[in-house]
Amino acid sequence: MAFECEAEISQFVTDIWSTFLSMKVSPTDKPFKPKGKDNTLAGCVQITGEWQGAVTLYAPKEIGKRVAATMYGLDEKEVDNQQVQDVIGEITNILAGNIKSLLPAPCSISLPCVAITDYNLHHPGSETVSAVNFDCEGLSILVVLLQEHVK
Amino acid sequence: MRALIIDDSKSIRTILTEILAGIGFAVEEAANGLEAMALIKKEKVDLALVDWNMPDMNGCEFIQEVRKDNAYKNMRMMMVTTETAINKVAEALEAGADEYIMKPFTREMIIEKLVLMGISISSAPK
Amino acid sequence: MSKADRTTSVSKQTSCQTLTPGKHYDKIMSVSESDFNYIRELVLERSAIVLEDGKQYLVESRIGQVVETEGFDTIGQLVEALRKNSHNGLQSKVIEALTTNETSFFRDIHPFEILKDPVLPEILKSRENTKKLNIWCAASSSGQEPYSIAMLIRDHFPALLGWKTHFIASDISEKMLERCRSGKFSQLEVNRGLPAAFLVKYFEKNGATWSIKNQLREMIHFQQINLSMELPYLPKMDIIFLRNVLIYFDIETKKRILNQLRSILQPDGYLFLGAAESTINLDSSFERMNYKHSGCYRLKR
Ligand SMILES: C[S@@+](CC[C@H](N)C(=O)[O-])C[C@H]1O[C@@H](n2cnc3c(N)ncnc32)[C@H](O)[C@@H]1O
Repeated sequence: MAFECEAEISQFVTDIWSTFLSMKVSPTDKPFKPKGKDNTLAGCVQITGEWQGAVTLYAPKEIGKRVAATMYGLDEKEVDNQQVQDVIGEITNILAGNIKSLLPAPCSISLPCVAITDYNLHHPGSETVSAVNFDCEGLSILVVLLQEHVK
Repeated sequence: MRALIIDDSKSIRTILTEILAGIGFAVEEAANGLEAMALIKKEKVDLALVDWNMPDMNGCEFIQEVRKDNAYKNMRMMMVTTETAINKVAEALEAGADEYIMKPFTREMIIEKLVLMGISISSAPK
Repeated sequence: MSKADRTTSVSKQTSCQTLTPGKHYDKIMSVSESDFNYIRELVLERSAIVLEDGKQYLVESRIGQVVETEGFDTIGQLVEALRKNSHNGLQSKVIEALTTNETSFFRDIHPFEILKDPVLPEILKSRENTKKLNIWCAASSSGQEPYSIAMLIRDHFPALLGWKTHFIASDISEKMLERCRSGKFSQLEVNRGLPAAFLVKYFEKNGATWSIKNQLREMIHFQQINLSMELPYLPKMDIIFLRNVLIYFDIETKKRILNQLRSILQPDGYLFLGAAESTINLDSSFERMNYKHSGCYRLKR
């Protein structure tokens, strides 16, 4: 099942960023460019049920820090890795919850996991349904919705 | 008034704690339903904000458990969750939740919901 | 500067609240003094909305959107088009863009509690014989206010559904009226002030959109009414909601509007104003009811 959901994903992401973080993000055509190796965080939530796949949020560490700093009311220098991972995980979780409402029911979502990646979009056995790039204060964020191939 | 925030995400607990502490609540935190059950047995809790999906005991199970025990009948409970389907809202209400809010939320949304739950907000500094 | 003024909306569904983020315009538009004055006068004349000095930023951010969607490059170009041609809907778009549509379900809660008890039970009793009830929501924005009243009636006063009722909701903005008629709301909107039990009972969800059920949409007639102009014919009203709109007008306009309402309101009807509004020093024929924070008024007997 292929379907268009870029507009919805854009709306979800901008809503999450503005309500939760009081930060601006806007969809952009500029493709995601990881800055250096091992500098990208990936939050991932699996979707299982009537529709199988995953939501992944890619963001540079700087964004993670900035976002964690806002959430915890700290200075960017004060936030630790744990806090950054937790924030990215929770944002991915909320995003996946929102995206789930576009998918056939019933589906459930896994708890989020967060990894540091050198940004490799290749997932064997899956295809990209939607990929939306965002600009967040000059840095880029990428949201990818993958669907598992039905055997 | 004492509030308990139950969420496996530390970030969410931090935001919610700040909101509730700002309007005069003493706030406790728990990372899942089991931890929360242990906490409410020790101390009287007036308000619980409960996430749905958590490891160990999930939020809906927690609410169900609490509602089985008459000792907690005055405890107000609101689900705060990424679940956004109508049947999920219905399920939570059936389990005994008083209110339901979907993530993402803002401070204003939380306070508006507390008012709906009959909780009088003494001071609401920004 | 509030968030609403810094950001603008992409989708129709979420265009009416400050929480909503959206598309951001890279170009920062600035407005010259003469263009600002032109827009200010146009808006005052057509909607009575007062734009004070220092509201340039508001014009820049909100009119910036109209400039983009209408295919101009600068605010100057748009004003030039406005000056040349006054009949092309462009005026309306500019005015629409300068209205503030902030609203929520059961906003401030008290007026709705007072409506539930004692206002509606009292009216139910006194209109028992005629079984007629008229309600007017006079600045309905994206619909949360009239739909809150409609849900309250359905839930607590089902007997009223069999009555002959005129339930009118109006606004100056066609865009807002379109949203009202569609009955569609975003997740952020249904998260605000709406009891979860009502969400389950009165809404349907399609994808990310929450739609209020037809049985509620059918209760309300939506029509455009500009409060700054002479009002169209309206039946005598038992209940008028005029909340959070007088604040945008100057004293003379407020007086004129209240004066018109006086002849539309039933002698034993009720007027609800916003929390920051009052009839004091504007119209002495109204008296404030002693209901806490509800902004409820009636005509002096
Ligand atoms: C802040 S909203 C209030 C919505 C709702 N009554 C509430 O209290 O939540 C103000 C509304 O007044 C409308 N408005 C502004 N000027 C108006 C006028 N001259 N005539 C009718 N409506 C007007 C705007 O379009 C906007 O939707």
